[in-house]
Amino acid sequence: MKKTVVAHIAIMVIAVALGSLLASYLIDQQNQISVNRDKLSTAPLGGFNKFASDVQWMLFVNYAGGIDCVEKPEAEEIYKRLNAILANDPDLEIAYNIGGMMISNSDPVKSAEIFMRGAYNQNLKNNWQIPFSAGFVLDRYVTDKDDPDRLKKAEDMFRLAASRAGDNAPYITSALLKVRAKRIAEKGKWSGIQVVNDEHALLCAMFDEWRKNGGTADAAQPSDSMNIPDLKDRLLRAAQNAKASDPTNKNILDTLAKVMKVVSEDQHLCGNCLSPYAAGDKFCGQCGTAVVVFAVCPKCSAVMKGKFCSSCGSTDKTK
Amino acid sequence: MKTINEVMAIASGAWQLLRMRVVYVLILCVLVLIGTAYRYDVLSLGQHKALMVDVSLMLNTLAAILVAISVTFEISRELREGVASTLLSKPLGRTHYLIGKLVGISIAGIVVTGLITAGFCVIFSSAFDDAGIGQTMLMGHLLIMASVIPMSALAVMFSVLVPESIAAIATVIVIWFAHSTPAVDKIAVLYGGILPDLNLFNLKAEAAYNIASISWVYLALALLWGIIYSVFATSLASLVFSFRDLK
Repeated sequence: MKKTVVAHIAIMVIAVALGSLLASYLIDQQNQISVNRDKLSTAPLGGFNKFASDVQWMLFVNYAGGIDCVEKPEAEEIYKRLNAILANDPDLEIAYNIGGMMISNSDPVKSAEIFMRGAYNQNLKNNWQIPFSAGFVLDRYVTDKDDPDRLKKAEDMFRLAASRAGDNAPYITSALLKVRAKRIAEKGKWSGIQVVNDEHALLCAMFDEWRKNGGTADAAQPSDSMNIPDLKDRLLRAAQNAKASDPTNKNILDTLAKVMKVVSEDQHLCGNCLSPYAAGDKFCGQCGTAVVVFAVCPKCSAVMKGKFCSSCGSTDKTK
Repeated sequence: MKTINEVMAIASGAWQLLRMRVVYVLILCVLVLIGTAYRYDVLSLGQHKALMVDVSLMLNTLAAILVAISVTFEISRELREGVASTLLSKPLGRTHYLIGKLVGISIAGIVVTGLITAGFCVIFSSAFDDAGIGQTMLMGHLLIMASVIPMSALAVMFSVLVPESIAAIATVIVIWFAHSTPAVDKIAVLYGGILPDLNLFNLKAEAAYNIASISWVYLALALLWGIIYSVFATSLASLVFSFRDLK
């Protein structure tokens, strides 16, 4: 009898020891598989958190379909319901998209908070709409009074969206550059130059991005930069707009000098409107201003296409 | 060999469950419920695919729990009616009896959950032509099938440890909380050893979205944990059972 009891106890002790060891290993494995496990509600739902979330989601859809408009009280209710849904299923992508957008007007701070939660969710790391919406709400609806860091957060969100967007990136990068410009305009200074207006700020923002990209769109990308294939064209347009906004402003002219020296050193631009012109042009095709003629033969004035003039055979040409 | 035959003889009594027509009617009802999830496309705003997977996992878990608690009624009935009195005359026979019941109900549970899994695969493939059965989805179901073993062990343990009237309720409560580990994970002492951690078999959200990757190694280790925990629970039950006076 005693022998049997000892054998039972020995088996139990060994089983408990092995079980504990194995369980702790499996919990680690499970946390790697299920990255949002720590975000789950601690309510004792018997492991049916996802199912509880499904039911709550359908009730939410039913509720949302029954309201005429979303004012503050409805926004509170929606936020409460969304929190309950996402506590049981943090990966329910549609809840971030629809829920966040529903309250973006009446409670933008909570809307942005919902979107940002979704944006940083590891299981939704391929979704660009959620961070884009977060940036959009932070930029357009949240005020400085609500959140003094809103533009910084919006920029981070747009940058995150752009890094995930693929073909949609140009649309998002426009939003990103505008937010960056707003931040520069808010600061009022850029590289020791006073920023005078929005066009000027946008030019500065684009030039910052250009420098981050290592000077070209194709350069090896630093971690916080993104590939903007038409950045050079955009920069040129921004420069034209900045000059047109205040043609004689010294701050703008100083910025233009700084920017053009680096960006358009291989291009010939009209001194007045900054439009590019071709070899042999005497006047700007956009504004009619006289421009410095280049690449023409000094003897016969024909446009030089190569090392030698194709009209007279001369090797000299105007720079 | 004689021992195995003895255990299997007892086990065959436990899987009488599979000869009951009502079990198959219930499986059919489960499959109909899984199929109805397809109709929730509007109410769930297009989330019906994940919903169908999740409903199947939820119902499969409930089926596993129901099969497991059925053994509490069976053991209690056999002890009350003295059906197993001959077999239980020796202490060793009592251990065999419990192991036999555990093996029998585990096999019955695996068959029932396996049928539900197979039915789900057929329904899901027919409902969503563009989506195949993902590995994570399948693993979610296989984990539930594996969880039948420790759940059955808990049921066997409670049918011996507590009075007949509360054995089933106690089993359900423990299984429920063992699946809700975030609620009780502050009890860190030998967690997964003395206290069951059935949440190890719960990757329903990942299976519903077919995200992440559950490896066969994880499944095998979870199954191994289930067997080890069953050894502990059955040993405890057997120890208590050996001191019990039976008529």
